[in-house]
Amino acid sequence: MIEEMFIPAVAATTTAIGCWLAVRRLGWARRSLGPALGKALEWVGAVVAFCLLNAAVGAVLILAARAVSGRFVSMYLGADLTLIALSALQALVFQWWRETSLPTAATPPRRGRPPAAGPDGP
Amino acid sequence: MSRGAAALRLLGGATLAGVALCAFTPLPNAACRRMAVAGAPRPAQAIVVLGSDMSREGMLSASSLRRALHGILLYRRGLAPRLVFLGPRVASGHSQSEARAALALECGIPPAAILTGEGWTTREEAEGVKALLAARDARTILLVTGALHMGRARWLFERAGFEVIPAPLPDASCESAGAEARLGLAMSLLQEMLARAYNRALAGPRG
Repeated sequence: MIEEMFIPAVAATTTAIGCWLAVRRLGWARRSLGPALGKALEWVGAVVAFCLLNAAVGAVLILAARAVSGRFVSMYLGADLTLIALSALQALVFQWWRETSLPTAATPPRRGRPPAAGPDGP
Repeated sequence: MSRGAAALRLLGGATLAGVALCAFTPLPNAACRRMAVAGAPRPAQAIVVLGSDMSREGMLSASSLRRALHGILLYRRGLAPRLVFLGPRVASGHSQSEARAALALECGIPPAAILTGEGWTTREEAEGVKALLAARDARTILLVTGALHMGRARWLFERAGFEVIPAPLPDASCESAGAEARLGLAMSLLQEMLARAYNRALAGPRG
């Protein structure tokens, strides 16, 4: 039973400490926790999507390498934990890229070509 | 929130739930017990030991060594007159099947009883053993491999025309405890399920 609960208990404890520090010491808004969890779920989803894509592309490349070289290339080549780490990195970069590309209230979206400079200049 | 973001949240939530189920409940253990093939070795015409891993330096992996020793012990119990070792030749030139045959010779198995074959996949091994044993009219074999791998291996050897008696040994602990061990077990199960699906797909609709 201790084996089963040890890791979740450690994570629960540090989460509780982190929440206490964030709210009491740093003054973070409690209502922002929900959206933060949503963003975390989005990132995990993106990691899985990149994992699946990497696995599919890896399988195609392995089959192509077998066909072209005539040598055996193992399918297990794609079963590497490094691929999960790289998928996590890909997901993080794409998520940040997406967020920085989204229009915000302060910067309305640009549509079409920028307005031409008038006689008074831009 | 866009539909894409909602889909990613759904996928992320489902993944976390799946990981939690695999890491913190005995679900992978139950699935492992269901997938693992039990064995009841009895006399056959040949003992076939499937290949496993070998380093570039020619060192047999723990799994390869365990399978080879299991085959040797079955032979010494008098369950079959022939012992077939399989395993590919790695790029450095070392042959897994020859290394295992050398081990068997050191253990006192007569050279005439030992056969070796090469093959990179279980499918290739089944075809290779079919050619190897056809001249010796051996159709009933004791198949030595991991308990999780046995289901796929038995299916492929039966398709090659053999009557298969499973002689498995544990390749993953179905009693794994702790989050990391259970996640490792879940990955092994997933890998084996994908390999089974791949082989079924290769066999076609009649497979």
